[in-house]
Amino acid sequence: MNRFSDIKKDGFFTHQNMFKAAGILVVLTLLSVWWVCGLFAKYKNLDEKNDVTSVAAFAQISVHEHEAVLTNGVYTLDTDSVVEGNDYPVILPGTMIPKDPFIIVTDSSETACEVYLEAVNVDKPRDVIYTINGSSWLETEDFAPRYGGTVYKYKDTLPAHTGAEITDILAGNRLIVKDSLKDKSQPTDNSNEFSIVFYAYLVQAD
Amino acid sequence: MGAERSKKRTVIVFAIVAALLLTAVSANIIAKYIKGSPAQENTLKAGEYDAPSVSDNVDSEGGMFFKNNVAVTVGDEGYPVYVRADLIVTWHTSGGYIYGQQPVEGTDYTLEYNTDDWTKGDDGWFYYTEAVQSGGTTAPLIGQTQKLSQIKAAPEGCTMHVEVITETIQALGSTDDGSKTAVMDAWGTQPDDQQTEGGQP
Repeated sequence: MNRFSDIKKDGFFTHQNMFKAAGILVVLTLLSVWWVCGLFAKYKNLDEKNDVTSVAAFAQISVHEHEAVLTNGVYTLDTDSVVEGNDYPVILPGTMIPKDPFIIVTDSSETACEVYLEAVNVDKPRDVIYTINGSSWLETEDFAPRYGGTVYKYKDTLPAHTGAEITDILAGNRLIVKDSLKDKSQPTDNSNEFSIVFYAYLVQAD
Repeated sequence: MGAERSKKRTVIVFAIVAALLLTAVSANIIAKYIKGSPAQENTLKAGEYDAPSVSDNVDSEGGMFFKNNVAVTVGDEGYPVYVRADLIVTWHTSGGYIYGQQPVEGTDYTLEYNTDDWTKGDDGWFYYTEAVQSGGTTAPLIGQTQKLSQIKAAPEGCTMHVEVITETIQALGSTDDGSKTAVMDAWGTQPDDQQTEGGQP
């Protein structure tokens, strides 16, 4: 028995049935778009190479800082040397550690973009503190942090075809080590090795 | 009845499938592009404390004990420190016990020490007058030509002992409010009479 011919024979494609189907279709579509897009489809990640080649040109974004040099227990920044990250093997209570992260965005985007920063602390003791520059960055929940950190949005939208070097990230360009920090030989919660990690994101503007 | 139910089921299935297809298309249309950077990572570690060590020379002259060539070597932990030392002078019995009476300076022993590089505080500690770099050694507290010398016979069955106790503290940093350096906060004195700010020059 040919099911399709039977359906056709029984008048499946009647106006009434099609109208019903269309109504159900519209409702289901609205519901699923709202739900699915909210959960999964909000961002199309361009970190994969094949994604980049298949869409309109999008800029590159990276985070850098100047190299920290340790001399007799004192850190200074070498402004002639740009690195992807620094090691600070000796930090002392009651001192300040120079750190000047900056973000570079290339000018190859064909769309306007928003810049986001995710700051991730890994085992950071409470006695080491830093502040993201509040006059340029606002903590946001625009999207969930990818690495469990805190996400901040930059104040300015970058126009299309506009590169940028964003330097005003850390207030005072420094970490503050409180005088209560203790090394691991002392019985307090502190001072195993810890990390501070920054990620920057470029998001297509509305 | 069965046919009617079958038709309704077909309509619903068709609608669901179409809705899902439309959703997939819509998601791509309204999705935003996002690109992330590689990690910019700093690893940090608190400076560790390594106890200083003492070098000295112990001998006797005419049956009288003396000690000289006393110097302090600090730990090699990557930061400069201030140093202070104390001389604990006691009588020890032959059984290794500490005699009840303590030797008195000027009566039982004399002390000559290096006043160019060390000062004696009111608290009895000897303070080295400048910061010592990581792994470095102080100028002698008691030099080669100087001595802590026993000048009076020991109590019966006793001998003089001199123990050198040392402490170091970071020469950088201050209290959170910046009102005191670390050494002033811990020891109540600034051995080199200079305020030192840690971290940034």
